[in-house]
Amino acid sequence: MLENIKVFFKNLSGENFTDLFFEGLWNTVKIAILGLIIGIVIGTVIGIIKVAPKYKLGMRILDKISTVYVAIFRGTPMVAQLLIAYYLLLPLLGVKGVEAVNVGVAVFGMNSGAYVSEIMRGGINSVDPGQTEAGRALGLSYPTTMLKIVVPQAIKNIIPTLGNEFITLIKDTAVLSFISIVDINVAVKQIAQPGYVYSAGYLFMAVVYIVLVLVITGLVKLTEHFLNKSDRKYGTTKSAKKS
Amino acid sequence: MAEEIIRVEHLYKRFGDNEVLRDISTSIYEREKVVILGLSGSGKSTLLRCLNCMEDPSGGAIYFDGENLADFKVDINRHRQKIGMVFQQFNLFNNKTVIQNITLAPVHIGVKGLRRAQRINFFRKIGNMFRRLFKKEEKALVTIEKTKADIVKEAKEKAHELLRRIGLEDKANVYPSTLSGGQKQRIAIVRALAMNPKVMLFDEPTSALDPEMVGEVLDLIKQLADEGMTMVIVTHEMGFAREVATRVLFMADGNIAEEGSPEEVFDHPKNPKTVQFLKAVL
Repeated sequence: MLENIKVFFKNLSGENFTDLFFEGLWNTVKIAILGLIIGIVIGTVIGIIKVAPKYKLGMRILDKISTVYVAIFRGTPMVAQLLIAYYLLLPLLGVKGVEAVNVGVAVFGMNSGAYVSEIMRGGINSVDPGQTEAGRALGLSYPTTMLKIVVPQAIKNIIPTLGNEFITLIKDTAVLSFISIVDINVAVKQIAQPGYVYSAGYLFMAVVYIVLVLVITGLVKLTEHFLNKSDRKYGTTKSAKKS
Repeated sequence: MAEEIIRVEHLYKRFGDNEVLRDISTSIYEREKVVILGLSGSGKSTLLRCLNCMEDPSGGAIYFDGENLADFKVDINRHRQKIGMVFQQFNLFNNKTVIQNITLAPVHIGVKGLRRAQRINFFRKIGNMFRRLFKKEEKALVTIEKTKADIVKEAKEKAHELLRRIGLEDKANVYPSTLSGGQKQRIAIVRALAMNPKVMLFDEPTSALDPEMVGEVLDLIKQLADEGMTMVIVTHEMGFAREVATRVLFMADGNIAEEGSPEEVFDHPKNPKTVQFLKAVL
């Protein structure tokens, strides 16, 4: 085993393979981060639609559309979505020259949007309805009240769950190899090929994922700390110290 | 006769099968201080919340500024800007500092108006090019007096002035979680005032406060009353009601059971329900 690991690292230190590894790492991180950002945007919009009052016909139609969207993206495996998007939808629409990585970002974003929408709905429901009332009573419109007052507070409440979603996305990037994107998974397999040191390669891959996840956990903690500045327990703000 | 600010006509409100308000008609005139009394469940909070359509009426009409607020076609947000509301639970925005709480709505609405004017001007300019081409009279542009910076600056100045008035200027940049209940409620009142409302609605403003903080909030409301602000107050503070009110509405079972000056209602109640209520609370 030790021998295998030695061979693997020797392979890895070769210039081509080092580049390949970092390409894989970069693709994994890039697709996960962009996917999460798109997911949060889509999820917020759907989450707001879901909790909004449905007096108007337009609102009811949007609600139905988002229900179908969530059902489709949560009900099918990510691999199927990637394959359908890349090998079926793109040729069908006649779009050419789209990089596989961009397809990956789009599918990850839309998939994650479906999950985040439910997280966001829970987050919005966890905010005191009085906050919405106060905003509406001041004459702010429903969307403004949501975006300026309720959603920021909701996001604060759901940061830990969003961290979960991010970690899931990072690990899900392993399916990107289906549409020939070089992610960590693909890179490591290629690096391990000379000398057939796959066992060492997979061990290394696991370590890389753990490190990534630990970094994300740290980032989530930091974000939480930053967003909690309006809570009493994180002390008074600068100006309060001044006075 | 003073100007009529809000007119309620045959107002009904149902929550499912439960009829909370039954055929209420009344008017609120300028500079009037109307206090609504009643047992819990008599519909007094619901009536107040119907006045700015926080609860949509099930039937009837509420006229404000010549428009029926109960009509879904009316732009309710524009009217709510002129109806200040203060809640039992303060409802300060937790994610905003005190000063942001006060300036948020004026700035947002000011900027929205500015954008709208800019948009209209943009299209008028294009229209004018054609009108010039066809030698027709050009349409005048909307005059834009204030830039965004002006709006922000004005709102901030006003907020500081209001904070100074209630003696909380040093709290301008703290978050609501660090304030006491009385401070929160006074800031909530000031936040509503920052919109220059025509009428203020108070929904049990002191019911969630510790007893030692009730005074400071009531004092502020009294000050506003003395300055001539029109207000509608739902409260359980009988002494305060008697002192401030120009008219008292006593509600029972979704109706206005008795209505009159504080002297009439408190000292010479006619309706047996009012008598019973006053006996219980005084």
